[in-house]
Amino acid sequence: MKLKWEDKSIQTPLSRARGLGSARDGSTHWLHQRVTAIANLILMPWLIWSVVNMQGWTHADVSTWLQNPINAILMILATISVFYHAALGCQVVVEDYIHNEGFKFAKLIGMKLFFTACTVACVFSIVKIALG
Amino acid sequence: MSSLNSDRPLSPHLQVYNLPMTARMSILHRASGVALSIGTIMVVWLLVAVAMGAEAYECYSWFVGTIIGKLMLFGWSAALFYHMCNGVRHMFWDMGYLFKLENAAKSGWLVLILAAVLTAFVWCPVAFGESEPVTEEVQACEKMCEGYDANETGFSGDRTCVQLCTEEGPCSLPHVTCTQAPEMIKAGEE
Repeated sequence: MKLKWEDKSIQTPLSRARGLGSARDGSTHWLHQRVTAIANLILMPWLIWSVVNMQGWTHADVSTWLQNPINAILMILATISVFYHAALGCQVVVEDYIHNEGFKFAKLIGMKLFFTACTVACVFSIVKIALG
Repeated sequence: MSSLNSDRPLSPHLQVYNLPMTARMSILHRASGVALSIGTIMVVWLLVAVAMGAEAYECYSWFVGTIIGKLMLFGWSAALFYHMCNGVRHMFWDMGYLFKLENAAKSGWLVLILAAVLTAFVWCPVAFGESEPVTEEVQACEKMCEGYDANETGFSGDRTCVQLCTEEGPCSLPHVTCTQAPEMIKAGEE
């Protein structure tokens, strides 16, 4: 069965061909969530293991550990991937459960700024420690 | 106006509905995701503290050593493994598998068991006291501390002198390493 609007769409043919819908990003959000999930699947077990077993280490121990390029690179990848994944996930939760438009808007913006700040703080710290 | 704001009666809802196990796991996936977003600030704290210096790290290290800190770290790791395993389950659904009710339930139990096993595995070295790195510093410390009661402070032998030198309290400590003279260790003992 054909729907009424299919014949006389207000979408331009180009917009229809792109298939990105009214939010303009189509399935990008969904896809990025999955891609970062796969990255996390590799990086997070390593991160949990490291952070849990770092208990009781001295400052010098942790610094030496992070000066190893492999650890530094994995840590940078892990923090970028995990905070991007977190930002995408929290966005969905806020969109689903918060119905006041103003509050929702504030939360979405605040969250994005917060996770960006977290990522920058982590990456800068790792680089600073790794380069001594 | 949103239908959520209308005065129409709702059907029996979450408060009286006994959720099946799969539904509980579904909401737990979201809850753990939100909790992890907040909990991962611990990692930010760790990294920024190490970058800021020994004193800031001492503060983090002290907090993680408290019972609350340990519980938070344990909760963080457990939630992460749950979210990770259940995320893999979600990916199977994305690919079109595990939609039969019994398979959804079975894979749910598998996720719970796997998450518990992985969490236990990660905490094994901590539980059995094998999580300390053997650096040159530690080896030097071990040599220096020969003859002192190793288990007195609850640390394994190679860490005794660090513990004795830094016993005064967290946060305000100058960073004291194992390279200090044995006299300092004796002073700490008194």
